[in-house]
Amino acid sequence: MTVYAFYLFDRQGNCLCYREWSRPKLMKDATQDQKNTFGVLFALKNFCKKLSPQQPGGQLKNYSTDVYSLHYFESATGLRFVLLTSRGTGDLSGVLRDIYLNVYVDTVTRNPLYVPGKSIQSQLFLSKLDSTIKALACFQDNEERKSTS
Amino acid sequence: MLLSLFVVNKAGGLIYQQNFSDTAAKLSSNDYLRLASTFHSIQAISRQLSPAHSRFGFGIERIETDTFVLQAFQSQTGVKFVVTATPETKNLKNFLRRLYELYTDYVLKNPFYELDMPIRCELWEVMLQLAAEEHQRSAS
Repeated sequence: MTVYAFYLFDRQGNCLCYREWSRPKLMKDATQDQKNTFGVLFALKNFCKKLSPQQPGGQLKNYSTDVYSLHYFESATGLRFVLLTSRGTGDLSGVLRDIYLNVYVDTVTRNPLYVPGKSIQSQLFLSKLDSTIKALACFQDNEERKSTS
Repeated sequence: MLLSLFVVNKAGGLIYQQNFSDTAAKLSSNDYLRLASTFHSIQAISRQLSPAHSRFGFGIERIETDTFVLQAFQSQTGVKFVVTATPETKNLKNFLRRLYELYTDYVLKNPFYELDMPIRCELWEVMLQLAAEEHQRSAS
C-alpha cells in the first residue's frame, strides 16, 4: 500500500497545493493533470448527487480503479482535498478531514499573509502535511519500496 | 440492498436501465441517458489520472459515497455493467459477474438482438429479477 500524491483545490479550480511521494507513471504535464483531476471530481460530484437515493446526499468519499484509489473530502467552503493511494487502504476521507481541521485551518486560514486563490507557500503547512501523511499506516510501503529499489 | 442497474455500451450509450428498489433515485429517461454517458467519460479520464501503470486500464470500478455505493464491471468488449446499492451491500462484484453471464446467455445469444442497441429481451428481464432476488436473499 502506497500513498502517491495529494492535491488541494479551491472553489474556482485552482490547485493550491500538489505533493507527490511516489509516482511510478510520470505525467506529461502537471497543470493539465491538475485540471483533469479537478474536472473529473466536478463531474463525479454532480453524478453522485443525481444518483443518490436520499436528497441531500451523495457526498463522494472515494473511488477505486484497478490500480489506485482516490480519496476525497470537500469542506463547507468548497475546498477540495484529494489523496491518491494504491488499493487496499480503506477509506481515507476521514484523514483528509483531519488534515483540513488540524493542518489547513491552523496554518493557512489563520495565516494573515496568505492570499486566497494563490498556491500555498507556507513551510509549516507543507511540513505538517508531510508528517501527517507519513504517520499513516499505509505509508510504510513507500519506505520499503525506496529501500529495495 | 440493490438500488439500480445500468448497462452501457462501448460508445457510452445507455442500453438498459432498471430500478430494484423504490428508494432509488427516480429520474427521467433523458437523465438516465446523460448519467450513463457521464459515467463513461469519467471512467475514461480516471484512466489517464492513474499514478501507476495499469495492465488492463479499466478505470473506475467502485465509487463510495455517504448514501450509496456504485460498482462497475467492464467486459473485454467494452460493455459496462453499473449497479448502485446501499453502502452496506456485499458481493456486488459477484452479482455483476452473474449479470454478465445472464447478458451473454439471454441477450447476446438472442438472434433478434442487435449489438449495442437497447436491450428488449423478456428472458433477460426475468432472469435479472431472479438474480437480484437471490442476491437480496443471500445478503440477509
